[in-house]
Amino acid sequence: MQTVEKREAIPPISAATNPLSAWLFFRRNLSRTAPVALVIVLSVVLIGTVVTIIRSIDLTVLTVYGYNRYFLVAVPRNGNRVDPRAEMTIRAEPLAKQIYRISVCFTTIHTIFGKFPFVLFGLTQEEMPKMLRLTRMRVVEGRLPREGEAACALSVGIARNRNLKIGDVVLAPDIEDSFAPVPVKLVGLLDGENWFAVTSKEFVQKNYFPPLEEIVVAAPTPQQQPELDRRLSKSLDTRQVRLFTFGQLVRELRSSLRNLYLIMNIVIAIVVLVIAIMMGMLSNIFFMQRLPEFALLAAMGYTRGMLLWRVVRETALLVALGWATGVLLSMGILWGLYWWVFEPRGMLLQPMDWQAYKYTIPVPIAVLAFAAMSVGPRLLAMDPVLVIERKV
Amino acid sequence: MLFTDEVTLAYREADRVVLAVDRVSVEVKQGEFIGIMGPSGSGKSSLLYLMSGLKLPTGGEVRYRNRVIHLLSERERMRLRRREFGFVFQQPYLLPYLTALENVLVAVPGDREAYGRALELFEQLGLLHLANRYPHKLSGGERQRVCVVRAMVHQPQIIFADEPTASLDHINGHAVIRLLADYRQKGAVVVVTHDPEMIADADRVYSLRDGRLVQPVRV
Repeated sequence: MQTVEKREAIPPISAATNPLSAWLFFRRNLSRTAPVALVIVLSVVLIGTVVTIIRSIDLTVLTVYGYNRYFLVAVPRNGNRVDPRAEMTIRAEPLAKQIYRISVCFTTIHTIFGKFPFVLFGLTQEEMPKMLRLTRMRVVEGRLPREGEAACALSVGIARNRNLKIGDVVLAPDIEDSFAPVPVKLVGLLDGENWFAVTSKEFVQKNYFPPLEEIVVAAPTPQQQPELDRRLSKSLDTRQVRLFTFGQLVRELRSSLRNLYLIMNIVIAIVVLVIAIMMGMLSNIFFMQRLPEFALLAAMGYTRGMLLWRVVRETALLVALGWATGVLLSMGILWGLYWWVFEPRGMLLQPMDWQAYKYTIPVPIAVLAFAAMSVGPRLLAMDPVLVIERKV
Repeated sequence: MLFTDEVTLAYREADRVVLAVDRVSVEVKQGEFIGIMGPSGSGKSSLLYLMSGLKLPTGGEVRYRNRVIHLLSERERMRLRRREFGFVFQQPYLLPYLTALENVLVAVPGDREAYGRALELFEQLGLLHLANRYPHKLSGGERQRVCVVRAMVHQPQIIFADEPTASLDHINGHAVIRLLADYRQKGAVVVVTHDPEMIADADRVYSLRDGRLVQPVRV
C-alpha cells in the first residue's frame, strides 16, 4: 500500500527537473498568464485584421486593374480620336508590338470601400481573341460578343462581384452607375490572371456619345511593358494624349493611400503603446505579488541577471504564445470573412497577407521591452533580506 | 571553515548610527552544529546574514575557506550562496505554483542527479507522500521540512537557518531541528533561535545581546 502511495506521489522527472522553466510557470499560473496573453491576442487580432482589410485596397486595385500590366492606354485630349501626331509617335516606337484602336464604356464593381469604375473594352471581332491572349484570359462559359451586339463578356470575378449570370443585363438605361442607352447582356464568362471585360467596339461607337477612340499599346512581353510605358511617357506630348500605365496606377494608388496608411500607422502605434504600458503595469503588479519568490531565489544565490532573464523568458514565452495565437486567430477570422463574405461577393481579401502581420510584431516586442524596463529596476533595487524579514 | 573576525554591521537610523552587529568573532567548523541565541533585536539574524553573505559587513570580515566574502564579486558571492550554502528562513516560503519536490529542485534546476537525491531525502524524512503536493496542501511543519530538504538537496557545506522553528509548534519544531542537527555528518549547520531548547544538541552556542557577543560561549 505504502509502495503504491509512494509511486503515485512521485512526479515525472521531466516536469520536476526544471521547476523554473517559463513554460511550467505559464501553465501553472494560467489565472495570471492567460488574461495577459489574451490581451496580446486581441491586440494582434485587432491590428492584423484591420491592416489586412486596409491592405486589400491595394490588392483590389492592383488585381482589378491588373490588366494594365500588359498594355498602356492612350486617351485623346483634344478630340474624339488620338491626335495623328501622337499616333505616329506610338507607331514609330520599336517596342510597340500590338496596337489597337478601341472604344470603351464603363460599369462598376463593388468593393468594401465603395463602388469602383470598371472598363469594358470595345474591340473588333478580330481584336478580341488577341486582347484575351495578351491579358492571359480565356472564355470559360458562353461566348464573346458579336459585332455591333449589345452584349459583353466579363471575368468570373466581376460576374460574382455583381451577382450576374449569363443572360443578365449588365448595363442599361436605368442603371445609374452602369449606364448604356440600350440594355447590354452578359453573354460570356472569362477567367484568367486578371479581371477583364470586353464588348463590341461597333456597339460602343454607335451608342455612346461622343464616340471616343483610344489606343491600346502592348510591348512584345509583359517584362518590356514598363520600358515601353516609360519611353512613350517621355516621347508623347501630354497636351495631345493622356497615358494610363500600370506604373502610374501604382504611383497614384500609393499616393492616395499614403494618408490612410499614415493614420493606420498612428493608430497601430497608439494601440501598441497603450498595450505595452498596460502590460508593463501588469508585469509590475505581478512582480510585486511575486516579490517573496524573487527575494527567496536571490537569497539562495540567483543573481539579479538570472532573475531578470527569468522574467524576460517568462514574458517572452507569454507574448510569443499570445502573438502566435493572435496571428492564427486573425487568419481564422479573415479566412471566415473571405469565404463567407468576400468570396461570394467577388471582393478581394488575402487572409495570409504576411505584410499585414508584420504590423503586429511591435506588440510583443513593446510588451517585452516595457515589462523588462518596469521590472528590471525593481529587481535591481530589491534587497532580499528586507523582503525575507518582512514576508518570507 | 568559516569565521568572522570582529565583524560589524552598522546602519543609520534617523540621525544616529545603530550597530546591529558589533565586532563579533565566531567560528564554524566542518561537521559542527552551531547555535546563535539572543533576545529579539540582539542582532543574531544580522550576524547570520553577514556569515552567509546576504549582507556585507561595515567593519571586520567574514572568511570562508580563506576567502573574504565581502571582497568577492557579486557573482562569486551568489555562486557561493547557490552552491556551498543552504538557507532555511523563519517563514517556510515555498513557490505556490510548484509541488513540494519541484520546490526542492529550485535549488538545483536542471540537475537530474539532484532529482534522485531529493527523492532520497524525501524518503529519509518520511515526506515522500508529500512530494507531489502543492504548498497550500501542506501544514506549516511539513512546509518547513520541505524547506529544510531544499536547503540540503545541493549538499551545501553550511546550512544557515534563521529561526526555523519560530512559526512551528513544539513537535514540528523539534522535528525540523533534528533534521538540521543530523546534517552535521555532511556539513556544518548554523541555527539562529531564541529558544534554548532547540539548540540543546548544539556543538557550540553563541549568545548575542545588543549586537555584541555575550561571554562565555557555551561549548
